[in-house]
Amino acid sequence: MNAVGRALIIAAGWTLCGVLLAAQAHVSAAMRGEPIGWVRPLAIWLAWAWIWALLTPAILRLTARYPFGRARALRSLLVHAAGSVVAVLLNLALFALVAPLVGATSAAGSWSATFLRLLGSTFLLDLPAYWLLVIVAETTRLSRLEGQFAEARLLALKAQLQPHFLFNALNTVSVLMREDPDAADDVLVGLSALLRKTLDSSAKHEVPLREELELVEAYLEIERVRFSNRFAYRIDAAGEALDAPVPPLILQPLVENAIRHGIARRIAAGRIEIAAARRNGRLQLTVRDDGPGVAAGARDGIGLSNTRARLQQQYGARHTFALASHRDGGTLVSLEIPA
Amino acid sequence: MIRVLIVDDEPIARRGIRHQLRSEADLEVVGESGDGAAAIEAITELAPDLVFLDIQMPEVGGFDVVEAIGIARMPAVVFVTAYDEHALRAFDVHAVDYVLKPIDRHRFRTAVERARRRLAHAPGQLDRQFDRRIAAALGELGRPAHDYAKRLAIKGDGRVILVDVDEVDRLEAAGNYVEVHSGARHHLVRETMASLEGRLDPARFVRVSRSSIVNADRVRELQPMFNGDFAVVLRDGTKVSGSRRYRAAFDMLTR
Repeated sequence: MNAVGRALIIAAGWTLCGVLLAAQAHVSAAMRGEPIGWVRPLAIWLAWAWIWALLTPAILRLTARYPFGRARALRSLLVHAAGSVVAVLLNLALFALVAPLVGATSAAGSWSATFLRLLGSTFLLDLPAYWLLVIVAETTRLSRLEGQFAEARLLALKAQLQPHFLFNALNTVSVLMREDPDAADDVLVGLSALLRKTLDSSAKHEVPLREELELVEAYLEIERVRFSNRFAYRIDAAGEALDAPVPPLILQPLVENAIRHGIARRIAAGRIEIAAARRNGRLQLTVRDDGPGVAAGARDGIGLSNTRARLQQQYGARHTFALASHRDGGTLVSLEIPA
Repeated sequence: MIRVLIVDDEPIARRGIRHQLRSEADLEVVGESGDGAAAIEAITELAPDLVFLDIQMPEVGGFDVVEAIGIARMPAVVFVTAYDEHALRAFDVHAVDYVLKPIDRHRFRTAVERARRRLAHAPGQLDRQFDRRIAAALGELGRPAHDYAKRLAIKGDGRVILVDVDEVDRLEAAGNYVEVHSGARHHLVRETMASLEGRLDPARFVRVSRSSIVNADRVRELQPMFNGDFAVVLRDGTKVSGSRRYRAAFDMLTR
């Protein structure tokens, strides 16, 4: 959605709130036998609503920056506790400015008198407005995350079952069966393991890095037999990194890319290096090949753009993702997520 | 004896084809190539009768091989692929032979039988018909193939450069190699002058001496000499000497 669309939705939402509350004020005044008409309640409540509308983009940004994921939920809670107080105070301060103009009952002789009166009468009533915004933002984010996750799962499944990969692997089995039944067996077992792991992990939200690396290794082993060891690979992950939770199938598309662009397209032998390190609450993952590197102006394929989108949704500003030619040749993909 | 070349980037897949061929007494495998560039070399050097050609290979794919050799010079082909929806549809439409991986041995027999029948006919009418089918299928895949080489595959440093023949100004023999001059750049091709000449359209690439071929489009000036030798000046000013033994070229260029 573009910025204008977002602004329109925010304005419309708050206008609706303002109109509803004004209607409530109108009706309750009429029932008390002190009719107030429409102009004054509308002016008051729309002023209140639109001040909130002005503050909303900042609140949404703050929520994107400090979401309520599993990691750092306490920090987010503290940030938003402070954020809600500041937002309400700002709201009241601004409302105190316009209160005399719209004929609010809270309007007193001076701005500060009005502000203090508002603080006493509505501070706690205003707090939920902030939290409702945070809840809406978080639920939208989570449902979007869900959708992207489903898409990634489908893509990864398709990648495993990529017809070209699958039929070539089966052809490898068909030939090895005659020459070396044990080797044929290994490929079949590897292929089954790969399919099983893909099916398993695609049902989960997070898997330990260990599992993701096992899946990647099963994939690499099959490709290595197919390419008759035309490439070597190394997986370098220390013990504490192996337990770190990662989104399932986050590495597989990156490794597949490395094979497709770094290894399969060239004739000379290649090398793929995968590394994981966990320090200071961050998990750093890198996939490097020694192929031709990133062509200038190259665009992300489906796999890569999906990985980017998933990271953005799940971690927001708390992740980094970079794909570039390495200065010593080849392509280096590096990503860092909270762990 | 039908001489066979097997082209596939996966050694195991090549062994698979070899295995299928064991029961064909009249087929003899004369070579294997693990990539497209090696296949182009092998086809020009070994002149096989039949090629089993994998479509997906690094750098230079099966269709690039056909493009580089030229349809008219290409041996009989059976394409091999694990999966390529588009290609298969085009092959089916134009009755081009192919086998799928993993290989169905009955289907493989049929493909071999058809190739055998095709090769039994003297080159001529029937041959051209098969060429046209492949050309039509490739054309449909957006890879129009020509009778003569459209591109040259030049190998070096573990990479392959494909040079469009339109961009070639001239070719110079250098021992067992040929220097391909294209603008300011020149590349070395490990191929004899004669075999390279055979793949190029004679109406466009004219042999002017034992060691030089020029692109007729690039010729700016012809300078005859007393003894029947001549000089060819190209558009970029390069002077190539022509030998009287290739006087026919002089006539052709002045026509």
